[in-house]
Amino acid sequence: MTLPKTIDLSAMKSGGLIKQKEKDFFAIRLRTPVGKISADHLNKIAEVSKKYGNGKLHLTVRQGIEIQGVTFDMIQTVRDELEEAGLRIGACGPRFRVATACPGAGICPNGLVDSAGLGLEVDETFFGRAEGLDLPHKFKVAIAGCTSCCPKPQENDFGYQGQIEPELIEADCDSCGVCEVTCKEGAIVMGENGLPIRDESKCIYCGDCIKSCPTDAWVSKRVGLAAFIGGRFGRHPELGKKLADFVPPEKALDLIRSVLEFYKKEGKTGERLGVTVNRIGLDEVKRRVL
Amino acid sequence: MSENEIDDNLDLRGVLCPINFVKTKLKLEEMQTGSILEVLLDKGDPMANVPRSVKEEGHKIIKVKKEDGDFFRVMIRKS
Repeated sequence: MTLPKTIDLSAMKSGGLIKQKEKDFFAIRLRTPVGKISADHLNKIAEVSKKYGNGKLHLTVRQGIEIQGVTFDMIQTVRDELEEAGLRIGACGPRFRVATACPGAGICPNGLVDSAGLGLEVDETFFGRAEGLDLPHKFKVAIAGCTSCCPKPQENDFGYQGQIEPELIEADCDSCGVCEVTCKEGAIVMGENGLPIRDESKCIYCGDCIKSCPTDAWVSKRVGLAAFIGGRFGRHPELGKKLADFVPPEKALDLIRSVLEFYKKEGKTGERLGVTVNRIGLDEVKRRVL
Repeated sequence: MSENEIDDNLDLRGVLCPINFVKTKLKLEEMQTGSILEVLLDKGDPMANVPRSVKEEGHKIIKVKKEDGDFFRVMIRKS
């Protein structure tokens, strides 16, 4: 097969084109950060799929969409047509992958932080090889708005999870005991004086006490992000380790940048961040990146 | 608070989330502003979710009483 003249090989290197089993066919992975997509874009994708693909799409586990069955010579045309509509191509290989996140505080009643908004910022800042990133291996980030961790931040190379620290305004408490029965961690017991006592060592900062309190006696002392590092799935799954608690949301990008610099320097080619962290030790990693 | 002050009640024991909240919401919609609804809720998820959702709808939870048999008596003032 001869290469069409219009194809930009350097653009191909940015990833997102997945060779299919059938000769000359590719699946085109789209960049749909945090799985948020407009109905108009979905229509456009459907149109492109019918026009240049086989009318079949794959919804990926990372909230992405792949257009299947595009022949090699049409890749550039598809890319141009998608870009014209404001759609971009995703990543594969040793790159910073499209960030995933739950809908977060703006949509979900459980959300503590704007995980989707942060995910979009993370994607915009680091995607692919932004900021001169030349990574040893793929790098996946997921951001969860609360302790339910629906987008699985601990299964990613780096993950954030929203958290909230409760504080009791004693004067507003009417000793109803709702917080005691609501707390799934058994971290709250009603004391002899009728006021709830919170056991800091059991508290996971989910905020259920704050949300359930009928008199708003439990209030938020601070909101932040728990950071996890080194998680992955694949052949040798491992959950990410807790790197920090209560990272201020405005410092969220800085910490990721710091971890990326560490990984770029210390990671061996083909080594996922979790392996690097295990080799160097979590304490040393904390000393270096925090 | 005496029983007389309750304008209506719902026994939601054994009713799962979010049906228990929807029933509470629909009942409150029929009631006059300022009137009081008493609901009986199981401990666990119903108690974790229903009072919180009622609060988010703008109503006021004026009393919560734990009863024997793992359920709660919750009084709500309609806003």
